Amino acid sequence: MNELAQAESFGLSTLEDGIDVLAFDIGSECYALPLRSIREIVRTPPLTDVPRAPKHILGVAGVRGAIVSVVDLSTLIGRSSKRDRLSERLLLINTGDEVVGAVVDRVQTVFRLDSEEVELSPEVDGSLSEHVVGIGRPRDTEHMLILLDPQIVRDRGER
Amino acid sequence: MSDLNEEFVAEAQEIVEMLSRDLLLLDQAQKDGREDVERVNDVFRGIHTLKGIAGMFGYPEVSAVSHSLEDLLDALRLGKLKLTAAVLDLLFEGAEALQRLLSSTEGTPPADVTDLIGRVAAFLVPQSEEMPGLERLALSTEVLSVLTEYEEHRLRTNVDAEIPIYRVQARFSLATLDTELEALRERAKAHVEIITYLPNADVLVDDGIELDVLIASDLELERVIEILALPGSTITLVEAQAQTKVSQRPAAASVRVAAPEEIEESIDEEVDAHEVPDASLRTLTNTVRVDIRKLDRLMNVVGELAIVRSTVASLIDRLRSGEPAASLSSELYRINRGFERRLDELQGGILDVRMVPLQQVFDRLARVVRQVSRDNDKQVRLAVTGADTEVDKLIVEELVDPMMHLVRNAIDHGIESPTQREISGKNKVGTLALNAYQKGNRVVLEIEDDGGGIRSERLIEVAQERGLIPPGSGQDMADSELHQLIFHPGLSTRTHVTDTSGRGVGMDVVRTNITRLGGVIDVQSEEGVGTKFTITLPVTLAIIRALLIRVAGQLFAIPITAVQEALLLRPEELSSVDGREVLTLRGSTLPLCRLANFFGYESKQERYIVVSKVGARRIGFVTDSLEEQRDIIIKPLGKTLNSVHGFAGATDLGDQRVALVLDASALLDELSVGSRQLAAGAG
Repeated sequence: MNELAQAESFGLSTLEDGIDVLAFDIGSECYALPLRSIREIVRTPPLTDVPRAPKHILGVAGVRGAIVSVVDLSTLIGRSSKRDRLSERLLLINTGDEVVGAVVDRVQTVFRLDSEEVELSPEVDGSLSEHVVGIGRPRDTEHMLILLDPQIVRDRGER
Repeated sequence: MSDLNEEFVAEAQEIVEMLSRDLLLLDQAQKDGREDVERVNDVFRGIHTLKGIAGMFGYPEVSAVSHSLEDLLDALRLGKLKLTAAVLDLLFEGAEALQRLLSSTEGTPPADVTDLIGRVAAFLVPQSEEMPGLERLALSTEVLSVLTEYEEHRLRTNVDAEIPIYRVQARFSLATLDTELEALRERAKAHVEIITYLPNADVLVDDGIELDVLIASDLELERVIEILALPGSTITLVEAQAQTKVSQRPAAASVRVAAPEEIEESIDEEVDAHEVPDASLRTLTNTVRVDIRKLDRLMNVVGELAIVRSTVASLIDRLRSGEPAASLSSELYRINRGFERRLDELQGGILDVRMVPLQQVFDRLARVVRQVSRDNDKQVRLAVTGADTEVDKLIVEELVDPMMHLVRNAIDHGIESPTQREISGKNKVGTLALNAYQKGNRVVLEIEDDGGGIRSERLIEVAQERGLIPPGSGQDMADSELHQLIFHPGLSTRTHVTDTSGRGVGMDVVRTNITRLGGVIDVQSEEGVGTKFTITLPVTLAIIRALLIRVAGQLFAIPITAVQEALLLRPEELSSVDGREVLTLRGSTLPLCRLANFFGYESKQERYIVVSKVGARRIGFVTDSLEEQRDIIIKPLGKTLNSVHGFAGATDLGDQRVALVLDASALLDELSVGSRQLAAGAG
């Protein structure tokens, strides 16, 4: 996906008005997804393993009558997870034609970022950069948010 | 799409579908040399309605096409034009143009229809009016002058065909006139043609009206009287006065049929116009028309459920006020029983509402058959049985495209050209049969052709080329096993790409789609005799019965349709063939699959074998335990799991547990191909 399309998918084209992002932790780092791509945040339900599925697929879960595939975001971005059942949450992410569940270590809060608080396409370590849209630095905070493209949850399964 | 437009499209589509069905019947009648006057009228009325609503909802193209078709049909019913193959082609083309117009999405420019309208107009070059030869009938000019153009035409046609005309004077009650006439028409149908009825001004009665009914029938007078069943009526033969003029046929005199060259040309154009991508045959809206009585019944059940609820509420009150729980338990038990029953009724009622007859699918397929057989210069007779079999609306929709593919395949690859058929000593008209019937809680669909069948030689050749089976193998495979190869991705026995099939969408896609519906597809074929595809489907998608099994601690579901029996696993009965575990079951060899191992788990408690049968093939799945049978709702797995094979979906078992549903036929494929490659590698 080229940068422009990615920025589009993230919702950065409307950045002038600011954009709401949901910040969450994976391992020791803080990430963020556009809030409008998140349909729901739930406690992780029991997962059913899917035999012979790719490694980043944790399984499937039933959420309000629908069957959702659940991916491990930490595997997708090449980090290790703390896997703390208590703080862990499942983000239901709307990818356009499918809702996919992504497990994160802890949900932080919602930030509103304007264009001055976002640094687009920074140089970061290679394996990750493909899904990273930019870095968000909310004013008056110590936070550094790695902004992810919601399509990340779809990616590896199709390659 | 706005609600109103959706409503329009739904209704318009219904009309177009009806139109296509009627056209096919007219086509058949025309081939048989019959004239189906009533049908032409039906078509005319349908188009007329469509024209009206299209104008009202602002669909100018639809309205224009309907208008031009209406003119054409009007000329037909008035006998100004003869129903020839060329006219039928034009009508079919019109129906398809309408279909295309209806399916074009908002924003895209609608297809150009001026060409079609122009060609219709070319058929309708005005003709000089022919002299009405009806004066020779012993009817007063008063009567003749009030006949409509159509009635006059029908009267003349009957006179020319030397069918006796009768004048019936009968009395009807004013209050029930409409229903009585309707009933009369119903009785008369097929035997007696009612040309017109006129109120007889001479006779006035208090509570009734006397009508002059003009009828035509070549039955004996007694029979006619019997059929009409109008007590107190008088019937008189209207005699023709000058029999000599009868030979003058108006049809020959007034109809100008386009010259043959013109027809050829227009057909060529039609083919060009069809180079547009194939429209899917799916319907355009997600609406189901429901008989209001069915909804009333559901409403009743809901009402009863409300009563259950209030009984429960009163029970809670009594519990709160300190009534001992023990005394209430039997009451609660009774309420629960009633609740369960109502819920069952509700479920049944909802399922019933979702059911639609397969007729819809078959009608759409009939269109495909006509088109494809013409495009391929093949003669095909379509024989349909069981079109009234009902299936869940959702299944019907999902079924259309796979069925269309099978039908195209059958005509394109199956049925031979007329010359070739004659050489093989077959009737030069091929037969394509579509059969549907219900079998228990399943629906069976058969698509059977009497064509050339699957050529095993060629199939083996291609399968080897594509590396599906090792070189040199295949000759020893049983036909049934061999034929399964056609469902394998990337196999098509076509030697050259044709327009209609072999566009990359193969039989594997057909099977995937069927499997997604919880169905199985099987093929039987004999070279030179024909091919038969059998699709077995659950009646409804909503709920299917499944067997829950446990493998290495995890629950899986197998649709009961795929389960033949379950056996205890006795290790001493197992043997090995080609490094593959098998069980000899009642004299035949059953290959086994240890699911735990296959799925990459480990299990030390394997105790049962679930024998699964898909078409003619069987396999035994080794499992740890058999849990229970229950009704499940299959939900598809998302695209994220596209790469994972072997599962038809998943089901929520309640209590937050999810079980994957095994796709027995996909597993069978994977296993049989795998073992063959394994065997080849070892050898």
